[in-house]
Amino acid sequence: MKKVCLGVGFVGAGPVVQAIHLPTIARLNTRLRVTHVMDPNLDLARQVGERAGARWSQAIDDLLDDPDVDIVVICSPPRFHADQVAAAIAARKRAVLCEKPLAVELDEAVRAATAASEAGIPLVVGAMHGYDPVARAALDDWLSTGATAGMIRSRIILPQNTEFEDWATELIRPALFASPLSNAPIRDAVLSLAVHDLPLIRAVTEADAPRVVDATWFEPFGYAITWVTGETIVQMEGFFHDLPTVAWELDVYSDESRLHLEFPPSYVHAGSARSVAQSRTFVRASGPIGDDGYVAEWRHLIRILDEDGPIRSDGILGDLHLVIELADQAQARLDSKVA
Amino acid sequence: MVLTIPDVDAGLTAVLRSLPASYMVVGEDQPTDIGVRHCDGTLLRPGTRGVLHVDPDPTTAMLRDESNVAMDAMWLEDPALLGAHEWFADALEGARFVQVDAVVRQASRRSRALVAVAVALGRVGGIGDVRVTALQPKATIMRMSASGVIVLVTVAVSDTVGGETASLRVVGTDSILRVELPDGASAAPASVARTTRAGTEIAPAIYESARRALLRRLHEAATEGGRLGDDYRKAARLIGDAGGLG
Repeated sequence: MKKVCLGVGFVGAGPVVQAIHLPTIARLNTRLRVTHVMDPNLDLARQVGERAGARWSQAIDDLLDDPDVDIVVICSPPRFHADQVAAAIAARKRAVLCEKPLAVELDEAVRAATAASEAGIPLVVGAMHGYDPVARAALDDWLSTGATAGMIRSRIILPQNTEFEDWATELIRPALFASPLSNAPIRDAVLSLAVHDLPLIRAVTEADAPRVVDATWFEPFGYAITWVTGETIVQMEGFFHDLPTVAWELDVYSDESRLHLEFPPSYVHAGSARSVAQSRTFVRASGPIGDDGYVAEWRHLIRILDEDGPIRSDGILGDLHLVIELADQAQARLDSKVA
Repeated sequence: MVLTIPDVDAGLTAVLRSLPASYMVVGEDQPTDIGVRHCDGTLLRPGTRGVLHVDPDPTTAMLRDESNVAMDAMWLEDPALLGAHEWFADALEGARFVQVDAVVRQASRRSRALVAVAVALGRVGGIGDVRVTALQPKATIMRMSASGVIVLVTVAVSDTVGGETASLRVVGTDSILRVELPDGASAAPASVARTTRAGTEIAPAIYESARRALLRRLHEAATEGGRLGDDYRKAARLIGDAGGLG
């Protein structure tokens, strides 16, 4: 018999947990409940755990030993992801949801995904745009026409996250550690920001042998990356400003169709994307609807556990392979310009 | 003053017939004030006061040095774009980069869009560093600078009901200017919005097509002794030198 209400344990207790996952789990409270919050900052773990009505701890082993944790959610800094996924798999938990990216190096990701696959434990990567119901439906419609994308554009031009976090919840902010300046800014930007839409881009193009042909960095945080795969050109641009406006867009063009997707910013729970599809004879708009990509990714995970279906990790690795490849190539191109 | 212009292009004639106080469409046997050039540069009829170059194809190298030559080029003469000149210049001053996206119906029309982009930017700031960064059968990415700011231009080939459109976003940390231009034949208003920390200002909607606005400017130039600039030819040369007219 399937367990009706699944226990969720969080590795990490920062803004992603507080502003994204706790409100989402609250919406799915008949199927999910938070049972454990772990963070190296014990005071933060305690505060978030108390708020969620869950146990708290400072070490991942405590969380993995907790029998009330069915699903482990990895929300730590990306460099820890792969090892923590592997630990959750080794602890024989029922499922793992790992925030994107799954890893910062491909071999780490292969190790984690292979372990999950061999153990038969579902592993889902929290790339919410890939689960957004309106975006997925619009892309599926687009793909059903057999169209080939000539150009794809991803634009993420928005304020820093802190504003959205504060709108989403009353955030408990830990004392900030001074993080060292990155010596690979555009690689980090791909892994942290551009990564959101790459699963969707990969869905509409084969993305075989992606070749970065131009990369530019804009201070204080911004990138423009042009890459080519097959006969498709992909342009990705991102920029953080300090203004009251948000543009998170994905556009796909073929000979006889256009698809425009607009997403709400991260952290807020403002529903799904909005889509506008054009052909030679119609314009069709859809969304936004109530469920966003966060809710959809959790529903996806619950469905996998309910159905006890086969576990596949090839999509996860394909997505990450593209992310790492683009991140490395873009950084190399930027470095070659500086040199 | 009513200017005579020949009946050589159905779409053009339709627009001209809606401007009875400014233009009169005349037959082959009557003299014309405004001549008309075909898209490939062929002079269909000469004119004594000016020339209208319909849908100019910059790849043909048929752009003439004529007085009062008006380029009926896509959305280029959209009145909202011209009206946003001051906002545009201000935004460019503090910008980190500029995004320009154009859509054309056929691959062969990409050069038209690239030249139109260069003209529009050139009217605000000096253009330089023009180069093609990616070229595929159905898309082009070009990079240039305007007043020293990096401009990233994408041109996609897509034939849909939306027509040949363009959008422009001047991105800075303190302000963003966004311009959305409809197909040049459409009188749907362009959208022009400037966002600063204080909020967003939206320019008034102007229900005048780019083509209609161009004819008005040509009339003013031809009757008031003015001269339309040759910015289109200069831009075509820049884009051609960068390999963008191929």
